[in-house]
Amino acid sequence: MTSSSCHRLWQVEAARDGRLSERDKSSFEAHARECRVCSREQRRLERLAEKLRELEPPANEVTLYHGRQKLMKALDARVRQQPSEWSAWRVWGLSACAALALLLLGLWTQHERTPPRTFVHVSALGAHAHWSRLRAGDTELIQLSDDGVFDIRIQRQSKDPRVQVLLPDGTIDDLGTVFQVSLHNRLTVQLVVSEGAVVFHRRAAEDVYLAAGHVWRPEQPAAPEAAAVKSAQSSLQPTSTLQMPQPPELPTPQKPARVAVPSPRRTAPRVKSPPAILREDVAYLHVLSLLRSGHDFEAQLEAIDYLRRFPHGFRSAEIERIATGR
Amino acid sequence: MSIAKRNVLQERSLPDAVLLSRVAVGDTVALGILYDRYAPALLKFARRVERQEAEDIVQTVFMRVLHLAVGFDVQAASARPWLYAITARVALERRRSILRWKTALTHFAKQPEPVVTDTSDVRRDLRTSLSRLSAAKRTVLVLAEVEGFSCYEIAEMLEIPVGTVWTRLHHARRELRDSQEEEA
Repeated sequence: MTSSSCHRLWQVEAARDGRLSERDKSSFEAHARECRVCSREQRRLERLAEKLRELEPPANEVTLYHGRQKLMKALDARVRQQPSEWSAWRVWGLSACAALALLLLGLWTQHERTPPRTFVHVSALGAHAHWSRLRAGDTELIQLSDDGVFDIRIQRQSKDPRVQVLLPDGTIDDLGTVFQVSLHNRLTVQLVVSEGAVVFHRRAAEDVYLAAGHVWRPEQPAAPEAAAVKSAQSSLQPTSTLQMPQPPELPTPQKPARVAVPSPRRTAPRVKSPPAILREDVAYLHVLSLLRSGHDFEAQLEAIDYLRRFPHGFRSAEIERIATGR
Repeated sequence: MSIAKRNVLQERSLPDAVLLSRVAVGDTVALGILYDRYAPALLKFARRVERQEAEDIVQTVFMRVLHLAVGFDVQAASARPWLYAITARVALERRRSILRWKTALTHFAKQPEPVVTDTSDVRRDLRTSLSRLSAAKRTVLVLAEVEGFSCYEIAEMLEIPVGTVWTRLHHARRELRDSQEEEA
């Protein structure tokens, strides 16, 4: 060891910084008490620390006071700006509940206001019974083909598209109903109306208006003329089941009824043929009603049918113009 | 002695952990007591580490304490190391921010970086010598030699290995000594 260096000089800093174990530190301190180089290094480090500590005067009271005022003002501003956590959660919760309530109210109102779309359900019974649905303009067409029994349920509002059931031997105008159609040999053999009302337009025959509870079956063959007249006259009474050009809109039944053959008490009287003059009137009125309701094509078809049925009818000239479209 | 004055004195003698738990729920009075207790020392420390921004740094530290108080370890005997750690971090952030601004402005103005004049007057001054150290070395040196924290405490405060603290401390002393010897 020389007067200017010591091999344990590095331990001065190590002891100061806590790099030595307790044992090494004690050993070094004993050495430093005798080693002038190490003790001088210790004093130099201590002087440096003292100079550094004296470098900054104590903080000015005025500076601290202003700093405190500034801090408190900033904290107050922040506290005033931020609502408490509880109230923030409450505001969020209430807002969410209000939004949900409005959404549900809107959905409910929309549901109430939106009219149900036309609903058509057809169930066919029979090996060859089948049906199809198609749209022609603003009319929904249900076409029944071949033999079978067809239970038909139609739900529609007055603004919904018109629904017409096409049969091999005619058509049925629906007025919002549940009814059953039976076909045999491509002929309608039975029409049972459970709810609402229909108008049955038979080809080469009179239209029949059937309300809930009415049952229609084909006419009996060749009844005596007098009886036929009587029967037809009775069928044209206000409660008749014959066609009405524009039947009044019936109230929709409150409870859906199952399709079943009505009891004999509710069954409408069998529709019998009116005299030829009345049949011609009915056919003429039907053509006119179709024209007035804007169904020109159907009116034309009905006009042709009229001319076929009543070739010498007293309105044949007028109907001929309709049939030929002149 | 009035009851109010006695209450104030009692509050002022509350431990740091109690005060910080009150700060955590938004008690600004407790924060004010902590400010009175530690702001003078923190201001001195900040001046040594980042002279120009010291007051703003202390202000930022106590604003940050309002949010960080929730995470304070209530078992700790004192909040002193915790507060110094926040101060060191804020000072470092502030320095980086200033450097970014300086770089951006220099780039924008297309001016060369100003060269620090190496006059004997500047070097004679210990304060200038200290300011010439890197921020990392200066922070470690001040924390160890002026504030009296152990190297292990500094490592924990600055979230760096203790070996890094020892290295920085050694280099800081050497650079300062060289500067002082040149002065002599």
